[in-house]
Amino acid sequence: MENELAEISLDDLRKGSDRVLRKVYEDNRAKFLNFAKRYHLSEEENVDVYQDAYIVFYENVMTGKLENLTSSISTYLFSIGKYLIFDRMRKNKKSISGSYDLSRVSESDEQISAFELDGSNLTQEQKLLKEHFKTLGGKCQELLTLFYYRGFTIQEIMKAGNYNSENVVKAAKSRCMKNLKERIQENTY
Amino acid sequence: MDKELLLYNYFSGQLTVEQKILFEELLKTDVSFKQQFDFEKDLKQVIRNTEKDVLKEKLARFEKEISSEAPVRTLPHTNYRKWAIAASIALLVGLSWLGYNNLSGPNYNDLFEENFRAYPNTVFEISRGESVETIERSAFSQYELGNYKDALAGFEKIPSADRSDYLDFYIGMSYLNLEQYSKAQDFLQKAAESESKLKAEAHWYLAMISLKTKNKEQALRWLEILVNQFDYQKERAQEIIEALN
Repeated sequence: MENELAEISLDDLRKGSDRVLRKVYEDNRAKFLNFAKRYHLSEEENVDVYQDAYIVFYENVMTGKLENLTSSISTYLFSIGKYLIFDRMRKNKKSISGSYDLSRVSESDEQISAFELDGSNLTQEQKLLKEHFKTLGGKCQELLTLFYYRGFTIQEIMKAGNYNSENVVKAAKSRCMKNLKERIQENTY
Repeated sequence: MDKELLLYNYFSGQLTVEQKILFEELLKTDVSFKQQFDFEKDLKQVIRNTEKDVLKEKLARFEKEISSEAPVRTLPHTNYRKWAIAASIALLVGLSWLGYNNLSGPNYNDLFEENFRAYPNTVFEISRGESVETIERSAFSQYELGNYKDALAGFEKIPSADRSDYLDFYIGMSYLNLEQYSKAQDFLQKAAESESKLKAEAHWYLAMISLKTKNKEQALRWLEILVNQFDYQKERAQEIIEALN
């Protein structure tokens, strides 16, 4: 039953609605904060960890890494949260041995092992690329995001973006890429 | 094999085993292929980073709203009401006295006041003396009278299975008129995402809420969708966009 609920939510989340995003965020927040309490970080840190865990979860849903859940969303968030908390404790130089409940750590969860935590640091070149990407028209940003972030095929983009044919999508994509490259070149010379 | 297709298959996760071998070979031997690949890989990373920024911003907003809503709920109703009235009077006096036109930047309150009008009931015909007084009809007549609390109570009595697609809009509008912006936003967002006839209107009022809550980015986002996709209030929306920028 819980599985079924979790799957419905993943599909709903994938549609990209803010309302669902918020609902899932709110529905799991109290549970998560309660779970995190045992690790004795501050309340503020726990909220930060929850947000980071939620970002990893959401990204995995949107990029297709996480297609369906074997457990509930909250369990998935706990598993990510646990890694993030330990990471934070290591940085705070707190010991994680002793009285902490480590029972959850041993749970094997192959879904979690795939998640990436870093990737948020951009090189100088990438930062420049980001600035130019943001100056592209909305339609171009959307198309490139569907392709490179969501992993949509040309055909899926055609349906999602109301394009008339695959060729129109392909042409639009080349135009956007060309446009992006031109913007970068204009600014490097 | 077409190099462009190879890259396309790589990024959409569709490389076959043979293509993968060819792909790796090209990365070693073909400089321009490698350059193109690196560019697209960077772009992928950049877009992921951009999406993350957007998401972080949203979560921060949710968190802010959750923590600002929480204490209000625990206050006794009458007390809260009294304070709310006192606060609005103080605010009114304060604002008019300040003559806040000389403050820099767009004047969100002015933009809101100039542009916000309660939306009329356009979906439900009310004729007096009808014998079957359904809940919905009476809720709409409360709405028309400006008794938004009673209207809401009526709307909420309607089981969700029986709710017409325009109801989210009117529930949202009732909350908006009661100045409960966060709830108003939730329902209007539903209406904006639905296929209801009032989709465009929902976008407009979401922009109004963003003005009221001084969220420029969000206001611009709603207005731009409105201008690009709908005709409703198009000129006004355009003017507000210009005023905000």
